Amino acid sequence: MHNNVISYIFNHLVKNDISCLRFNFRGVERSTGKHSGGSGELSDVHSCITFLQKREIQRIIICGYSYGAAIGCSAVNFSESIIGFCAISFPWDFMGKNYKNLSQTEKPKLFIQGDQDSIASFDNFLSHYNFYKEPKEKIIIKGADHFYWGLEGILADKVVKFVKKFNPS
Amino acid sequence: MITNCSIIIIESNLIKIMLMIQGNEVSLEAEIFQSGNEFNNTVVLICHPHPQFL
Repeated sequence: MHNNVISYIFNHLVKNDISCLRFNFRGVERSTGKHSGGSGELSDVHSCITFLQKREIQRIIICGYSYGAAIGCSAVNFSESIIGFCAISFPWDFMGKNYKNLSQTEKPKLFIQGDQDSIASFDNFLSHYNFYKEPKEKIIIKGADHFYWGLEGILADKVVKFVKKFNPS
Repeated sequence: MITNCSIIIIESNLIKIMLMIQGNEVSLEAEIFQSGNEFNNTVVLICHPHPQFL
């Protein structure tokens, strides 16, 4: 649970009284098992969705950062309960086409990207973004690299605004 | 795929749990925030980056 971006987003959602769940992938901190390079982690996301559905949650928005964007957003078509996703610094170039194809959807999508990011390369951002169907939107955060140090609050605010569009009350 | 959970800590509306995934013997550490007393609203599922970034 120790990442600056994720912690800011989680805490900002809490401050705005928006229900949220965060978890550690298998093999991380107190989660058991071993890192599997993708397939097991995608199963972890599916399990969280199943967990929420069993508790009669009817609307789920996925928000993933970096590797978590590639894995999490790839579960967007797993269930009709998932109504959209927010992908922060989706690392298309080193995660392979499979995650890009799995995250294709006609559900609402927000892509957030730093213009100084050399890991989830900003140079290729638009070409990847253009792959996705509408509805979609993008937010470029100037001066942000992959880690968003000092810019987490701005980032978290963008996520909350996106989520509130689904739940205006 | 079927999951059960065990509650570890409750702090106000923040619940720390372990999700047990049956069949592959993996359990996931998770935190849930419940908005007010309602848990049947929209839930944001947040996914962490690669472990090397934690």
